[in-house]
Formats: sequence, C-alpha cells, structure tokens
Amino acid sequence: MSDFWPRLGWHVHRGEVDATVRLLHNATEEQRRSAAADLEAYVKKTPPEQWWSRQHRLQAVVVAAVGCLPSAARVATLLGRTVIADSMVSVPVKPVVQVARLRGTPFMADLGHRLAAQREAAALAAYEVAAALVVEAGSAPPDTDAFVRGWVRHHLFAQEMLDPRNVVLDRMRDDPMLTALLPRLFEIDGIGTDLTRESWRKQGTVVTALATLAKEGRLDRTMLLDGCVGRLLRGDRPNALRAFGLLVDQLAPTVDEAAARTLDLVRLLPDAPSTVAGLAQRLLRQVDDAGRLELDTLLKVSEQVLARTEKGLVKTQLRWLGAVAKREPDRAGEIAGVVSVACGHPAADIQELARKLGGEAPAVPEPWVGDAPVAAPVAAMPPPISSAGELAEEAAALFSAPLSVVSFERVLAGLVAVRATDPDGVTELLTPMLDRLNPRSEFDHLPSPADLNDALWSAIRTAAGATGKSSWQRLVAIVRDTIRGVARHDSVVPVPAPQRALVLRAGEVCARLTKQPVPNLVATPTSVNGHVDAGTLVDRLAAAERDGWEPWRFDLEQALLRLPREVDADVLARARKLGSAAGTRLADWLAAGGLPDPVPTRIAQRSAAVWMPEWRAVVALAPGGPGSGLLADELCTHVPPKGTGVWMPLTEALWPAVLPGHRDVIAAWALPTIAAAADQDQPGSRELLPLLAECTGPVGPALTIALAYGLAAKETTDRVAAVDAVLALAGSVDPVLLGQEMGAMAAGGVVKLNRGTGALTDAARGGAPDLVRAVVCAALPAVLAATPPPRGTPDLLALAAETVTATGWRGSLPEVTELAGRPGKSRSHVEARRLTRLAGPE
Amino acid sequence: MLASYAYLRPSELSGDDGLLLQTSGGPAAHPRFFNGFLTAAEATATGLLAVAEVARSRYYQQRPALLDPVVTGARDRLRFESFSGCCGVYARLDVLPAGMDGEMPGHGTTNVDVNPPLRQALARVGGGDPLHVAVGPDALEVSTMDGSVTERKVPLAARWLRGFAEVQVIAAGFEPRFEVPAGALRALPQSRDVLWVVPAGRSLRLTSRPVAGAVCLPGSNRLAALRPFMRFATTVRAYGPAVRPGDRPVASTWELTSPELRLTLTLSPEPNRGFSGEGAVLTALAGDDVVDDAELVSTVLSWDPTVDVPALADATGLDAGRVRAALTQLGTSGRVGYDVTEAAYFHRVLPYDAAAAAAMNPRLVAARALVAAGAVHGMTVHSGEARYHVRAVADGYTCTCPWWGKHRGDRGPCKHALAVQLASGDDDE
Repeated sequence: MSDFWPRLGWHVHRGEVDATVRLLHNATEEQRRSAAADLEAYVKKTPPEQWWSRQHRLQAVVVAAVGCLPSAARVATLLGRTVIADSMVSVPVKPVVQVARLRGTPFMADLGHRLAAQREAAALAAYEVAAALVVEAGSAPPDTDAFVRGWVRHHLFAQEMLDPRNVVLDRMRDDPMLTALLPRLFEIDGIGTDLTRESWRKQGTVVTALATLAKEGRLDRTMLLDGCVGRLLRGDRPNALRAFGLLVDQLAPTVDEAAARTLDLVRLLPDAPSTVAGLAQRLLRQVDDAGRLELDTLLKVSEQVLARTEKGLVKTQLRWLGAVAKREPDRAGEIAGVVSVACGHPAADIQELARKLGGEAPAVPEPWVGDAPVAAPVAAMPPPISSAGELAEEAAALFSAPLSVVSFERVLAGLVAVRATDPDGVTELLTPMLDRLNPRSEFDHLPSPADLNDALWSAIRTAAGATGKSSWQRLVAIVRDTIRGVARHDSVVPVPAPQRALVLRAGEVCARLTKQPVPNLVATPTSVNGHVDAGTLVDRLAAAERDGWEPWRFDLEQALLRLPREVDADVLARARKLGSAAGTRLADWLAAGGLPDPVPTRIAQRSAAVWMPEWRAVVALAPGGPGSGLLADELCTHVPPKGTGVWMPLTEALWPAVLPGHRDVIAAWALPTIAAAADQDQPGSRELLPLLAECTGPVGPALTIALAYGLAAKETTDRVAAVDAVLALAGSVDPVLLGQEMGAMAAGGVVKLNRGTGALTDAARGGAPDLVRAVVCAALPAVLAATPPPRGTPDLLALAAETVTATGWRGSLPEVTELAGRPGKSRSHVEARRLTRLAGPE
Repeated sequence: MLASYAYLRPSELSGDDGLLLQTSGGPAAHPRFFNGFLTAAEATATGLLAVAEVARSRYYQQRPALLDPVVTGARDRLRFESFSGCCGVYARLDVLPAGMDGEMPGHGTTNVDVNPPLRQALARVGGGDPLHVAVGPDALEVSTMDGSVTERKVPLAARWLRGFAEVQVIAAGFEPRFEVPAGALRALPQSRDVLWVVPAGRSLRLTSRPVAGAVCLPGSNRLAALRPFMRFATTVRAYGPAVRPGDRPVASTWELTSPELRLTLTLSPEPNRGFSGEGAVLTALAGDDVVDDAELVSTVLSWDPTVDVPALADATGLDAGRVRAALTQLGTSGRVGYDVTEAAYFHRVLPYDAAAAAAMNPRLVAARALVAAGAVHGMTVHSGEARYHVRAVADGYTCTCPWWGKHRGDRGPCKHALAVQLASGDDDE
C-alpha cells in the first residue's frame, strides 16, 4: 500500500494522463487516499515556472487529485492554486470524469459546485470540468456568475463549434441547463457583451438563439421580455445593454405586450443609452398609434427626450409630436410648448424642424462663450539642490515619473554643484542607490543613443565616482565624436537634434565631471520653460571669470540657446566687459541678436504602406545664418525622410527647453509624434503643445501644422492639450493657415474631421470664437471640395454658424453659398443655408 | 474580515406601502430612522440608485464590490453613503429637510439593503406624487419576524474601510471652486485620464494642466453615476483644494443640487489610486496625543445635521484647534463624515470596526516594525541591505526611498519617515 504514491507519482511526473487514470482505476479507495498527502506535497514543492511548459504533468496532477484527495473541498483547494487554476482550460474533461466516477455521485456534484464557486478567473477556466461533473452527477447546475459566463462562452467557443453543422441555436435547444440558467442572463452584470458575440465560424449569437427558441415555444416570451426590460431599467454598461435591446427587437413585442410595459418604456427614454432609448421610442409609438398612450404621459416624457443631444432621437420625437398635434388640434398649444425645447438644440436642421412645428426659440439665447483664459506668468525654476541629501532624494525620485525640465535640469546641475562642494557626501549617499536607480532592466538591449534616462543614470554614476561601464564609455565616445565631427552609426534611425542636445549634456557630465570639474553649470534655466535670464548668465560667466574656470562646451552652447529673444541694452553692456573666451562669445552672441531663425519648408511625406497615412505634412529646416555652434547647427538643419518614419519613444516634453526662443524649430522636430497621435491613433505627447505655447518665438508652419494634428488627435487628453495651446496662442497663430491645414488633412482623409470640429468647438466656447471662426472659414473650401465630403461636414458648418453668430462676423464664403444654392435637403444643405443667411449682409 | 448583513427581509417597493428599506446593524439590529413621505419621489429614487450604483461599481480593477450602502438618520435629514470597490469613488445622497415629511424615531447609522428587484422598482418611480418611505422596519415587525432574517456575508477589506474613513479627512480641505448649470456636466467627454476643469461662461472647459481656480477631474468616466440625476438638479458645484500650475493630481467633489436633495461624488486623485492609501492621516495617527481628545469629543456628538465646533469646544473645554484635530482623528475611525457643502463634519458612526482598520494601516505597521527591529539610526533607516536617509523639511519629512520618490508627499509620509517620527517620539518620553 505504501508503494502506491511512488507508482502514481512516477506517472504524474512524466505527464502520463492515461496511465494515471488506469492506475487509479485499478486501485482501491484506500490505496488512492494513501497518496493524498504526498500528492499535495509534490504540487506545493514544485516551483511555478516548472509547470508552465509541462501541460501534461499538470493534467495528470488534476486527474490524480480528483482520484486521491479525501474530500471535494481538498481537491478544489489544490486545483485553486494559481498555477493550476490558470491552466484548467487545457485539462481534458474525459479522464477527469472517468476518475471522478470512482468517487461517487455526491462527490462529483460537490466538486463541480466548488470549482464553480472559485474566484472569477479560476472558475471560468474550470468551467468545462465543473459542467461535466455536474451533468454526470445529474445535479442542479451552479448559478455563480462565473459558471453562467462559462456556460455562455461554451456555447460560442467550445471545441465542437469547429464543426460547421453545429449552430448555437441547436445546442441551446438541447441544453439541459437552459431553463435553470436562463434567468441569470438578466441578472449578471456585463454578461450582455457575450450574448451578442458571434460564435466561431459565425454560427449565430445567443440573442438570436433565444429569440428563435421563444418563437418555437421552447422559451416563455413573457419571461424573456420582462427580463430584458428589467435589465434595461436597472442599467449596465451601454455595450452590455445592447444585447437586451436586440433581444426585445427580435422578439418584436405586440402592441398588447408593449402597452403592458408602458411605464417601464417611459422611464427608459430620458437617460438610457441612445439605442435603448430609440427602442423604447419605437415601442411607445406603436402604443400611441393604437390610441393607448395618455397624452400627458407623452408630453412629459417628450420634454425630457427633446433635451437629449442625440439628433436621431430628437428628430423622431419631433415628428411624432407633429403627428400628435394634427390628431389633437385642441392641445396644439401645449404640444408647441414642449416642441420649443428642441429649439435650443445645436443642430440647425433640428431647430428648423422644431420651428416648423410651432416651437419658439427661448427669448434670451444662452451665452455660451466663456472668457478667454488669462495666461499665467511662466513659473521660475525652483531653487537649486543644495545638499547631498537633497540630491540623493531627487535622484531617487528621478525615474519613477517621466522626466521633466525641472527634474532633469535640477539633478544635472545638482550633480555638478553639490559634488564640487561635498564630493564625499555625494559618493556616500549615491553609491548605495546606483543599482536600484538603473532605469534599464538586465534583459534590456544596449540602450539607444537617444535614451536620456540611461544617459542621466550614467551621469549620476559618474558623480558617485563609478565610471567605466559600457553606457558610460559610449556616452563619452558620443561626446568626443561630436566634437571631432565624426558621424556615428550606432542608431538605425537618426536621433532628433533636441534629443541629442539633451543626451550630449548628460554625456558631457560623464566625460568632464572628474577630469575637468567646474563649480556650476551655466545653462540651468531660470524659468521652467527653459529660458535663461540674460543678466543671470552674465553673472554666471563673471563668476567663472573671477574664480578662473571655463564653462564646458555644450553647457555654454546650451546656455546661449536659452537666452531670450530680446535683451536689454545694459545687459549687453555688462556682457561686453567680460574678458574670458566664454564672456566674449556671449557678448558677440547678444550683439548678433541671438540665433537667426532657421528657414522652414513645408513638405508632404508619402507612404504606400497600409498602416500609414497616405501623406503627412512635415517641415524641413535650413540654418538661417552662418554656423552658430555644434548644437545650434544640428537643431537648425532638419531634412525629414521622404516616407513617414518609424515612431520611437523619446522625451519630447524636455525639447522645448532646449530652444525656448524658437518654438517653431522644436515643433518641426516633434511633428512625427504629434502627427502620429492623429493619423495613426498613437498616444500623443500631451504636454508638448502647451509647453511650446509657453515658449517664445514666431508661430511658423511647423507649430501651425502641429496644432492642426493635435486638434485631431485620437485621445481626448491630447485634444484637450491642443485646445489649451490654441487658446494660449490665439494672438500669434495664423488662423487662415491653421484652417487650410486642417481642411486639407480632413479632405484628404488622413485625419478624422469630427475630432477637429469638437476640439475647435471647445476652443470657441473657451474664449476664442473669433479665432475659431476664421479657422473654420479657412477650412471649409477644402472640405466642401472633397468628393464625397468627409464625415462630419455638417457639424463643421454648424460650428461656423455658431461662431459667426457669436462674433457678429459678416463676409462672403463662396463655396458655402454655392452649396446652399444647390437643391438638396441633407443636413449639409440646411446648415449651409443657415450659415449663408447668418454671414450675409444685414 | 467579513461584513455580515442580517436583514429582516429584502427591501421592497410596493404600491400599497411604498418604499420599505430594510436595515442591518448600527444602534440596533434593525434600527428605524424615518417613517413618512419623500416629496421629490422620482429624484430621490434616482439619487438612491446612483448611490447604489457606486456601491456595486469598481472603476479601476476587478475587485469584489458588494458592500451595501449605509444610511445615517440625523435630526432633520437622511444621508445615504457608499464607497466603490476600487476605493476611489465616494457617493452621498442627502435628503434635505425640504425633501422629507415624516417622523424620525431614531438616530444613527446602519446598512441598508438595495437589491436588484428594488433597483428595478426604483427605476420605475415616476410622477409627482410623494412616496411613502420607511427606513427600517417598525418595532412590531421586528418582534414578530424574529429568527427569520436574510443573512449575507461578504469580505470586508481593511483598505475599503480605511478609504471610506480617509476620504472624509481629505474632503475637509476642500473649498467650493465654481457653480454652473447642471447640464454643463453632460457635455464633458468620457475619459479615463486625469484632466482639469475650469468654468467657461455657463459651461465647463477641460484643460490639460492645473491652473488657478481649476478643479481636478481624474477620470470623467467615474462621474457616470451622476448622469441620470442631472435632469433633477439645478446646478453642479465642484469642490477641491486650491491648485497652482505644476501641481500633481488631487481629489475633487462634484455635487448636483436640487431644493430637496444633494448628490455628491468624491473622486480620488487618480483612477488607479484608492483613498485607502492616501495617508492623509498617518502623521496624526503616529502621534497619540489627539486620541484622548477624540474620545472626549465623541461623547458629546449628538446626531445634529452638522458638527458645530465652537459648541463642542464649550462642551468639552478644549480649544477649537484641538476639537478640529480630534474630529480629524474621529474621521479616520469612521465616526464622523465630512459635508463639503456645509463645510462641516457630521456625526455618523460606520457600522464596522473602522478604528481597528485605521490602526492597522500597513505603512504604520511597517514603521512600527522598523522601530521595533532597531532599524532607525538617527535620520537613517536600515532596511535589509538598503539605507534610506530621511530629511526634516518645513512641513514634514522627505526620504530617499523609491516609494517617496514616486509620490513626493502626495500620499503622506513613507514608512521610513514615520519610523523616524515614531522613534523620535519615543526618545522624548
């Protein structure tokens, strides 16, 4: 007897399921039970990773557990261990049931119910086994949420469904659990999404199967209808509710059935998701047409429906009320009062319909334009890091959030300044945390030359006195080669210049901190947008001259690039008094008026790949004057590839501070990312546009195109950020150029028009109706010329009308007038006529 | 830990008797707080559904959320409260004096049963007639139905309790920021990101960054429960702490008001952050001088609509500042709630052992363990191989640990700072 576990264990360990079944079959109950403790110990001592690739062993364990453990409770506990529970889907049902039969009917039923009562994921995975046990035992099925979900999915996706003759309808008709589990379909939250799901090989959905079974008389119609209406009333996620709306639709309730549920249907109209409300609307209309709906009920609910935003619902309700007004002429006044609610709807055709039906617009239209936001002054940089303790703390926090101008610059400056005064403190506090800080895991590949986190980590290592690691050596080499003018070819994709400028500064700390230490960096910004106050820079260079040190090369270049565009004469005079090389360079730089604006050229990249937009607007840059330094030359020279490029994650939020006085240059470099948020539905770099709005310099083609893409971004947050930027730049952006870009993108189908319209509406209501009016009017010609006009064209016309009303603008819009003059009753025509009327001479 | 509910029978809404809400626990096994009429029947039913909706929702992770709402019977109003399973959304419906007409036989807080058939029935409530409502069974029913209760046990996570308590303390720092017509809320897009909201005319504008006067809206999808109530409300008001450019996400309260009712939702600073870990009270808990004051203050609280600090100061002989600190302490143990509209605490005793949950805060437990293990050496805390340096700054402590680096004080002190604080407190004695 004591030799039973060794034999069983041998088969289990080798994953021999059939042999395990045979062995258990030929053993006595006593023998099987003797292996229980050993089996449990075996499972517990096997580390999780050993199970992953050994499904057969896992299956044998399940079979053995069902055969050996003394109670169903202990089997369920063992099978509930995460590592087994996760793989229960792959356990074949037949051998488990074979072995379970040896243990008797009550055991099977008990185990089935226990498996169904586990946590959701585990119970779902164990569904097939649990269901087979319950059916074999002939007991009532468990009614846990997970079991019912598993039951539904079994009908959709079970192995047998691969047989094309096997349709959901036939399977459900013969299902012994159908009657018991059906009521649960109306109770479990979120199960609706599965009910409308198409099975493998498109063999029908559960909803159609239920409707057909009701028609056949297998299921009770009234029960199904009550279940659906109850579920719709209780509510769920819109996606999950859809199933119940569809089922009601397919059951096609009779007038009697609908009339019996009038009160419930009325309650669905004001708040239910639009498809559900539409269904209730149709059914109530049936009831009304049969003369069985009280007018007071209809009028009360109509008021609530007409206040909804969905155009379809409102239009249907208006037409219905129109018919009722003809039927009941003595209540016409009351009905017209209710219809007036729709006069406040944003769509012109609905307003028109409401007026036609006798509705009157509210006497005082609601003022909808808010005050333009007042730009807050750009904040000053927080005080520099002053002690080794603070430096350690900031370094520890550095990589747990995305880098920002403040965190990057303060730590970089702190590494240099604190190390100059307290090198021992820095080494002592930073050394123990270096490995913990490493932003790369050991499985990562070599860092890319664009990886700023890695560069910064190397700089921190340098400050702690730990040099000589591959990243460090590579960074030092990058700095050396850049100075020598040697091109490096260690990146497939060229690193954008602003990113290189940041990496080079971190690299410079690696290369110089120990060999050529300085007491301070000179390029640390004085305000958070990246600008360095000119007077402060003169002071910094004067201090260097007095103490006899020269600033590092890239540090000084970066400092010059951060100077404001306008500088007071007395600062220039003070700069002229400096005698050092750095001081002279500063004075010359100021006298020349800083970096000359580079020359932008708009170009369209083309791509034939299906996952890419057909074309993308980008901007090339050429220097606006003779060489101004290594960083400046790289920043001002940009030749975008002919095709749309590869997207790579970069720290774009730091870029504006590299060249805060030339935001259009940064926008040109960042365009691929910003455009991808709109034309490839990528996550955008949401902080970037508002940051650029806070910087200075002209708003040229690059920033204008960036705004056009930003307003059409997929993510709400990206669009909100673009609206922030538009409002902040309302005085400096050219609305006509912005409108033309937006119009061309929408007409070309590379971005979705409705996103841009929505964002522009927010901008108009947020206090820039004049700007938005000009943008929309400039976008309309291209949009209207497209055949067919892009989806959402009527909304763009409606926005134009709204802003024309708000601003009182008058002028000619030939393309709109032309459309208005053409015969047609579509919403575009109605909106065009309204716009022409509003913008025409008084 | 388990929460066990024992209701005499399920709550129900019938044509004859109106709404009978069943209660469990609190001052009695099945206390009765109200018997009379609700004047705004449809709106109250919708508001109650919203509270029940939050109680059974989880806005971030799949975690069980099957705890029943609680109801507090104060002197002149009923407050229904619930807390989402993700610990990130707190909902409260206040039925104001104008919204009810009847007798209040008792005061206190109890669980209230809102079952699926009742939710369906509540969704059907319509029309302008007042609705008869009883909160809790009458004495006769309690005595005759003895022994036949509907019992249900659900897991009660300590973090759920801590969050429910902590949200009160956080809301105490809020100020009203703006008020616009209720419809403005309908126009906000559904988003799971952290956005900020500023008023724009009679509507609202979203902005991607905190600006002066803005209120944080962390996950507008979490306001979904307010939606059906909008048609009854006249205004929406937003409350939050003062923010400046560059601030990190903060919590906020959104309130819909009608003359009879107030429905508020309070959102945690980020959808993936529960109130349970906000740590707003840890510093207070680490010191124990306020505990005695709190006990004293709790004895004189008396189910008034709001807690009157000067009156409490008179009654206890403590000064106003100490009373406020004591109220904070009581908030963490679930014995007072905070009403942002009235800018005052209100008496409410959660029918769970919340004090124990607050004391079992994992960070506090870990800090005590560090002190007990002798890991605190001055301002340095040894934790295994690692050494963390704690630094005293103007308003607390900072640390070099990764947790602090991630949150930078947003979620209270880290365990190392708490350990240093505890250790220095021990030295004083």
